[in-house]
Amino acid sequence: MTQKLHLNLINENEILSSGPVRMHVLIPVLMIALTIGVGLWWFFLYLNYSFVKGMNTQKIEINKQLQPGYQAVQELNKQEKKLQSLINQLQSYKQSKLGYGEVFNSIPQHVMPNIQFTKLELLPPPPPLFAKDKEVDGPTNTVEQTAFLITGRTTGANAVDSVEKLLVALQGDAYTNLIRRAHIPLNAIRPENNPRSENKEFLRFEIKCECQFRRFE
Amino acid sequence: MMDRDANQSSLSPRKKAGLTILGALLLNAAIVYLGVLPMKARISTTEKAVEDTDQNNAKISEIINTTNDKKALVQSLNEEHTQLVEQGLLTPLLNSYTMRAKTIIEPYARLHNLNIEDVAELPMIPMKRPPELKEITYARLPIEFTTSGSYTQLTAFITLVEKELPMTALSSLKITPQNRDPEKHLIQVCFEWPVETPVPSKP
Repeated sequence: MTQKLHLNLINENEILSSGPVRMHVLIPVLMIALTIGVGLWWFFLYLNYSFVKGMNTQKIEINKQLQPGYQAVQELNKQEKKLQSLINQLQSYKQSKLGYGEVFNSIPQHVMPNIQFTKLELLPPPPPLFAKDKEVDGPTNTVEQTAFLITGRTTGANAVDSVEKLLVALQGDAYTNLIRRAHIPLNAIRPENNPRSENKEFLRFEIKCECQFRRFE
Repeated sequence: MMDRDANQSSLSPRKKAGLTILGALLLNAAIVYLGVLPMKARISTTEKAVEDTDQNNAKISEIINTTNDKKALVQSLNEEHTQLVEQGLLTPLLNSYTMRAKTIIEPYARLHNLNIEDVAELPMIPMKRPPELKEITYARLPIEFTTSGSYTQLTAFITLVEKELPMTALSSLKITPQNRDPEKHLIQVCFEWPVETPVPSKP
């Protein structure tokens, strides 16, 4: 009885592949080539970065050169805003002015001979409204109400008519530029308590003329 | 015998190749993660910065091109402001607004035979201040004049002042009769002017 005996006389590292190029040589070479390729990729990226960085430096330099001109325009803008605000303040003040002279001048033509003015008072402006959470100087009233009071006495049979005529005249179209509302306040027409003459009965009256608003805007 | 041991301890070519591949892969990964990717990010950031700076420069150049127009506008505003100031901004005379107001008003009063007997400065009324005004602003300054005369004299005087002084406004008025002379009333007439005042500091 014969028995087959297999003998492996070649070492493992001595076995050659059937291909013309040994894989354990080729693959490392390819790997080294790949590494060199990746290194070159990084290098080209670095060159690109250097170029872009240079360009950025150049743009920043241009920006620096533009700054004085830009600052000059900014300064002009500031001046423009400041001047515009000052002009607005003065213009709003000028436009808020009400003309009283002509009105006061023409009132006597509506005053009957039995009327005598005892006082004429244009009330002073109200104190400014301060907003508690704002700065001390404002904003203050942009609209201001003004009024004048005519106080007088009258006598005679048509005393009440004379006062009414004066009131109607003050409520008329001739005064709408200045007077917004003219009225006799509650109980403001009454007999005089201490008449100077015992023969005559005098009436005291008060007419309040609320003027147009002074608008500071 | 010794050669055989050395051969056994040295790596086989396949193992060497495997190790080389592994080493190369690790090296490449390191280059990509530590070199290439950060570099790409830097390039992207720098390109964005270049674009932004470029756009900014273009905007600034556009703004700079308006310099002459701005200069012309500021000059015209300056002229308008000066004109308004000259129309009647009250300036102190020898550090006194009262004195200045008296010198302005007195000639008009004299024209109507009114004698200014007393002048008093009333508290200043601030005007609404836009936030742009940080150094100076304007306020209203009422100044009260005491005189005596007839109603006709007074109204003519007020009409003249209102006509001749565009920035002077009648602020308040009080006419009360005097027993000694019924035709000559006691008159307290108050005119107001705009005045320049420093912006008060915050509390």
